[in-house]
Amino acid sequence: MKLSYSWLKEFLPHLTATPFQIAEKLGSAGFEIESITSYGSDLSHVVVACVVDIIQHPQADRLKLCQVDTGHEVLTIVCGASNVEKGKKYPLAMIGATLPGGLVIKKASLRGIESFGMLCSEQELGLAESAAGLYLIPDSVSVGTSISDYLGDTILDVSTPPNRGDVLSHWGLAREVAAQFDLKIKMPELPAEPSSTQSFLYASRFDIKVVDVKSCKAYFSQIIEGVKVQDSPEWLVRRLKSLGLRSVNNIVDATNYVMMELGHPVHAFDRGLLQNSQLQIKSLSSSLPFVTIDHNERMLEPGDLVICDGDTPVALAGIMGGANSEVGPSTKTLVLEVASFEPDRIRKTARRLGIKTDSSYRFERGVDPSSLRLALQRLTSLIIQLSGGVASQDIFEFFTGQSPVTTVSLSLSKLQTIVGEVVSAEEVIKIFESLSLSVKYVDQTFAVTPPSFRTDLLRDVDLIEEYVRFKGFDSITSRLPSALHRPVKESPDSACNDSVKKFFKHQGFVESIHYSFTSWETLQKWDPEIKAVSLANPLNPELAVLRPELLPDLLADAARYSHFYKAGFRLYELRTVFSNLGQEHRRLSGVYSGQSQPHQWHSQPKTLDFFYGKGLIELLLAELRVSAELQATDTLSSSSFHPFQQVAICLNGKTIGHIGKIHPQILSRFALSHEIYAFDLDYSTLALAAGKHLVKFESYSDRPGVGRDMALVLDRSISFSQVLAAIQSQKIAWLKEIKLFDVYKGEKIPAEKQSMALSLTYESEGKTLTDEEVNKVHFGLIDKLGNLLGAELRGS
Amino acid sequence: MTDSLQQLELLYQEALPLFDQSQSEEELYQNKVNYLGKKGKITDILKTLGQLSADLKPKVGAKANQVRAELEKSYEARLFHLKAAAVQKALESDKIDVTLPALQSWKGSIHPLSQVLTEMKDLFKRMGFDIFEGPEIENDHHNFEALNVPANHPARDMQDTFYVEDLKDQKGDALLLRTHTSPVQIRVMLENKPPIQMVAPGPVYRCDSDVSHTPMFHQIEGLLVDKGVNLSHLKAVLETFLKAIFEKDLPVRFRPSYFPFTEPSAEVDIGCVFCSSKGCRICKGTGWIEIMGCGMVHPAVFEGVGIDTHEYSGFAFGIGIERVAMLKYGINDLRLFFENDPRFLSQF
Repeated sequence: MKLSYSWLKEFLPHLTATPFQIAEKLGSAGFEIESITSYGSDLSHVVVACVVDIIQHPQADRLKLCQVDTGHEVLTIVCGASNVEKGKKYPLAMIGATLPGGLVIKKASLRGIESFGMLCSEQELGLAESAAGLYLIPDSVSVGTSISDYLGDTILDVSTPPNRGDVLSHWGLAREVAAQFDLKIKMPELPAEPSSTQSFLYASRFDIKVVDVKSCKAYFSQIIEGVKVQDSPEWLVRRLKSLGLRSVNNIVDATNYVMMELGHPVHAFDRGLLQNSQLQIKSLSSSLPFVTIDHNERMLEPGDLVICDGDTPVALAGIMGGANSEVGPSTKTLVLEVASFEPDRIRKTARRLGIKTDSSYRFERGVDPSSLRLALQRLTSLIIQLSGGVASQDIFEFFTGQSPVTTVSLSLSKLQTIVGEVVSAEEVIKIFESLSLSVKYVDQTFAVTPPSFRTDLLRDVDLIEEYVRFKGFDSITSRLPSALHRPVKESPDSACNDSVKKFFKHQGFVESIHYSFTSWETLQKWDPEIKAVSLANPLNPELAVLRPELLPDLLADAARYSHFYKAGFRLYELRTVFSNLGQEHRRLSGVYSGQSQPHQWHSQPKTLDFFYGKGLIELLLAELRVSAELQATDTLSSSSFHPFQQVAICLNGKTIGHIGKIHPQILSRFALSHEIYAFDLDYSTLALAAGKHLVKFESYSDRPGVGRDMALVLDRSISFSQVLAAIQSQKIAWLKEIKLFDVYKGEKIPAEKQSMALSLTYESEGKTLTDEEVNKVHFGLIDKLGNLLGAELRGS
Repeated sequence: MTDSLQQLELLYQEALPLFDQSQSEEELYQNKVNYLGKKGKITDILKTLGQLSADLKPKVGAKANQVRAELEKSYEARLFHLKAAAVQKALESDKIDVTLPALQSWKGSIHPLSQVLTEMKDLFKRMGFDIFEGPEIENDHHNFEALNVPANHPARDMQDTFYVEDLKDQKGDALLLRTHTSPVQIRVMLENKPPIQMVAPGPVYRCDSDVSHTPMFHQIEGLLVDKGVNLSHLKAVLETFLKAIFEKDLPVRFRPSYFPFTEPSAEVDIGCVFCSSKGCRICKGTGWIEIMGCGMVHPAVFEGVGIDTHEYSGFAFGIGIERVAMLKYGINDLRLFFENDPRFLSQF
């Protein structure tokens, strides 16, 4: 809501506070000030002056010599404007003035004649973008008035809460300011009811019928005949403009003026364009197209509240008038509308059509039916003042009656409990009364009746808020509540979060956070068959689908920022993913590629492969104390990974994720040329299992272990896990450790074979093992492996 | 027989410089052998001791021992010196340019929003608040109705909502992406009895995108419900939290405001962290920065979850994580948080 300081002063003649002081008070009373804009107020040495005489400049055809009365003296001014007239008033920039364009006014000689100032246009005063001539000031303004007093204004852009429809006008904000500064409100003066004895062409035969009485609580109307539609006077144009409203004509401007003044959205129909002698306020029963005053065609739906001329809507009630009854230059007779419509109905229709007008904004927040008559009187007198015309004596009044006045009771003890301070009842009463609430204080309880415009005060807490709003939060001392002694609860997801993120940081991984929605295009690069949930109203196609996977966005980043990732990258994300049924899970996914270390002088780094990721996740599982297993994926494979370079992460027999090389087809869809490895796991399940695997101490032997190596030559089809299983199946009690230290395929052994070199450690708690004892067991094992796996010792 | 004595003295004078000037341990050792060894020159003289007269014998003997002892001492001193020099030489040959760059590893980082979130969670945990997380897809009831925002209420304009296509809740209402973390309050109050002391961090969504809005952002919601909870408690908790999170004894200001789910409601401002409240571009010259919203839980909210408003009262608050992160790290563009540009992420 834009508040004009000069307009506010019309309601509060005794207001002495500056705009900044008002802004501060309103701010501390819950009305945030978005901006304060002053204009015209910096025009010192510019006054209203009257041209008392004009003669032609003797040396220049296009210049005139004007004698200009400033109220103190008569000055000679040389003027080149064509519209300068004797007896008219214009702004005069006197010597010493600096105009907004930077022009400093000095005594100047123009073709031999001294000029003691400059008569100005709106443009020169910085009030308009362009101007045709001098700025004509109405006769009513007295000579000598400084222009900043006459024109200058400060506009406060006040942010108002949605429950305070009553402050969406100068009157409404004046009430708040009056309460804050302890001032009295002066209402705009209304001329006596225009008497009309003339016969009315239409009025006698015109009627209004409210059909939908639930949605239209009140409707007031009056006819004005013989209006002359024309441009608005300058003061009205200026005032509306300062509030960001465009001047249309005197009638439309009058309706806007009343809305800004009193908070009632009002409307004027051109009677001449109405086909019937009755307007009906009703809800539509069928869909139909309707052209609103902004010349857009809207599709109306059954249930929309409209004003109808017969069966033809002429206005979308409370939102916008129709082009078919729009006031224009040929309008002679007006039907005025001042009404109270049901907020919900207005809001529903406005939302559906995507229209937000000053009118709908106010109706949605509720207008006060008790001041409808005032608004109609104000509108009528303003229109008559601006356009001539005569108002009908008959006023159509439909009024279902004031909403019942509710009295809200608030006990002093409740107030003190919520505020946390001792409060004086007298002070509370004083505050409430200054806000126009009527208060009775009986039995330590306030019985408060709010005025009709304060529809937001429904319960005791609303009154507590009024008290706090007025008294200020600074009046409340801060006291910490007494500490509660109990351990804090936290979900596993949240509890593990930090340790996982620290782990990845220390492993050189960078955490990403993407929007939870991405594009179908990105998702389909990952999996053309992917299923996911779309947003019904996405901002754009790039942000249209809730992510069922995290890796697509990470791969998209790898491609997007490939320029920075030449030596490699390590990225991960830990976020919520959404199934196509809308189920939520937390996922932990990451990608890596490139070198083991950044490129540097010190040493040549190795290129990372699958086994780096495998080690990383093993380390993470150990860190989180989760006993999950990494298993070869014959039956558990993920189609997103290279079929022969992936493992499944299994927890309690369930696959919770994968580690592997991204499938080359996916990489090519993302236009990525380097090999990329990834891990992708169900974080919620992981977090739930975290810490469950308790460490158990195992005693160790003081006796030295005995080491024995073996290099086995095996068929390539035999995996390391088979070798390990075969060794473990022998249940050799002394065997404490098995380490693989080399894998070889090549010329030195037969094709289709590979060699695995293992280092085994034998150890007994009870005694020191002799070579003979160890050899017997070790070679026995080798024999067994020969039988089980067809393994031979290399070089034997 | 002064010859022997003289001879000893001569040998001593001859040997001493040889010992002291030996250039290597080998040379030094050879000199020692030459003079003090079994066949050494001084040993040779001692071997002739038997041929000397009884009065000379002790004199020559004493002299020989003295010379031997002196030379042994010189030997040890020189040996120590040579060893030290050898070590020094070895060290010098190992000299490296320590100003060369250190061995570089990949530098990991934690997203600034995660860092701020963790910091806030830790702070609230230490103050005794439980941590809860709720779903991001919500229904109208939890996100609006239960928070005293009925359908068609103008307060819904404050939060433009994303709806999820084709999914409905049990009542048949369209599902939506939560517009704030407040629905977690409702879920927690439905499942727990007071006292309740919790915070709920997480992403929230609004159908809005411009310089100062992203369609996803993060909040942390707080709720404290107990007997006798009041505004002075609310003030104290938030002041404590804000001073701790900004690690500064900054001024905190409460301004009345409006939220449908709290009454009274307030916006909280902190003294501008950039200009120490003097007024700058960031605080638009006011010296204050709006940081969070809060208020006493609206009785309509309590009634909806079955908490007796005669017995209990409570406060709730919500704070934007991005805003705090921007202030803490001096980040000037909200959108940077979600672009995942390596030049941004690597700084944290």
